[in-house]
Amino acid sequence: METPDLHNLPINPNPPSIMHIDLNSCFATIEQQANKHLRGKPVLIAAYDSPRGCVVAPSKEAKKAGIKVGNRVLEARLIAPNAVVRTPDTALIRDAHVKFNKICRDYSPNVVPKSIDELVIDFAGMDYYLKDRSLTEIAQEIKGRIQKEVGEWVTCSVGISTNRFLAKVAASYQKPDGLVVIDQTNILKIYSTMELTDLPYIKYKNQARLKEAGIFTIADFLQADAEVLKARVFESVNGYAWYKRIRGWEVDAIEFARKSFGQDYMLQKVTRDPKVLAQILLKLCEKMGRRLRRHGNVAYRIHTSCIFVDRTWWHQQKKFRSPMYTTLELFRAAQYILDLRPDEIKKIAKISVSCYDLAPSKSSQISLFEDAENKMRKVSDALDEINNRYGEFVITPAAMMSMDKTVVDQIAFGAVKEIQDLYESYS
Amino acid sequence: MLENIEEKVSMLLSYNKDKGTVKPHIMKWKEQYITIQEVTYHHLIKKGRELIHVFHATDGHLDFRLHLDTQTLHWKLMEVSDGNS
Repeated sequence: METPDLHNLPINPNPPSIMHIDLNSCFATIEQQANKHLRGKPVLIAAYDSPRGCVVAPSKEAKKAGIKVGNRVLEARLIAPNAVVRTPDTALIRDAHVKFNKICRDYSPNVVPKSIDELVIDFAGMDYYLKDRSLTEIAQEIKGRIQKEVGEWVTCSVGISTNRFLAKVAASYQKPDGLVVIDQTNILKIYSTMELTDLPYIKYKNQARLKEAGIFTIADFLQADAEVLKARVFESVNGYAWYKRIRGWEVDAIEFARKSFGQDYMLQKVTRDPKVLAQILLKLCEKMGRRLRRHGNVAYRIHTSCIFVDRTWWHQQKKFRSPMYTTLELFRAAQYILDLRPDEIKKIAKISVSCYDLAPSKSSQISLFEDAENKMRKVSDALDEINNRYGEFVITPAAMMSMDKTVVDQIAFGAVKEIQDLYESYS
Repeated sequence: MLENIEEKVSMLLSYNKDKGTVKPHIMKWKEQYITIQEVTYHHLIKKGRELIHVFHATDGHLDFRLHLDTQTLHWKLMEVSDGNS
């Protein structure tokens, strides 16, 4: 089925073939599934359970009470004094995701995780898997299987449409436990009940751009010319993509290759103590390095950033001549960059490090003269082997001693590449 | 309230050869016998080559997080919660 010309593009008349499935209040719901006495109560999954901890996932009961993602635990407790706070049980959530993914793969090999709690299934050309059943019937069956195989408390919202964007709109349209199909027959009706910011990826910045061009509603957005969206609103070919996207034509079926590895950490106690910062940075580099090496890569660039206690942000990146492979190499580079920050007296609240400009480690140039460096790579591989066999951080640099409870395991929201790592660890 | 325990416990369990499932039934903890009413979630944790089966279970009053270490076959009660703050 070919996409017609961009000008006067109609709403996509093709039958829907994309299904977006979103586990409702995933982190909190899975916690309620595992702990029966949390069910029916406002549960808050927070990065830390201290008063300043950030709520990353409120349960549906907590959402009803008015608690939102991003609230502080202290604020949430003022809204719902009976709220129960838990920190994420990462192993539990990852297991639920793997079960969720496994169920979906029974219906199509073309399953793409969008985040830890969202999957997209592409049914185009999958008649063999459909067995003459409609996508609505398949969706009902998947909902039932999630409750049977992941847990009876776990519900999901399903959206079905002609492209990934509208399928996501449909999944968000009716929560929790919804099942909505958007096609050319009802798209205008559904759009008429929504605000611009109800659309995925249209938040304050994009909304402001649209408003500047006189686009205040989704109806205005649909009426806007493709050239206006390109030249005036998005100021790039992204405008054309939006023109197609909101009409149900696929522009998002792209998988990006991994370009970087990164770790960040929100400090429980803000500090400027160089020793503490170095320890945290080292642990972040160890976690990042483990992933870099597991993928058989070296990196040539390091980016370090920090958010200070006054909410100002500083970042810097640097390219290095020699490839970085071991934790020590990554740490030295990251620490060098961190030491360049101008406000050393300011306390740091969050620290991030990432490495990029990746190359396969096997083909990277090993130094001819610096034999010690080559030996360090072998030592690094041996340490990874020991940690693989006996568990993470069994052997660590001495500077990381007494850091067991620092930079704890967390799940990144929306980090699809990390989910790929997850499948490998479960295989 | 959630309380970390991390204590070894005695366990009476059943194994179903047809379903290939193991279900804890009665746990002896602090000289008390606790009847497991329901396993609410079961999953695995890998720590290197160490494999641990995690059972989230309830006796109807409290929630328990139990670990079965596949290397030692020891059962540990890791957490107890009454579902309140």
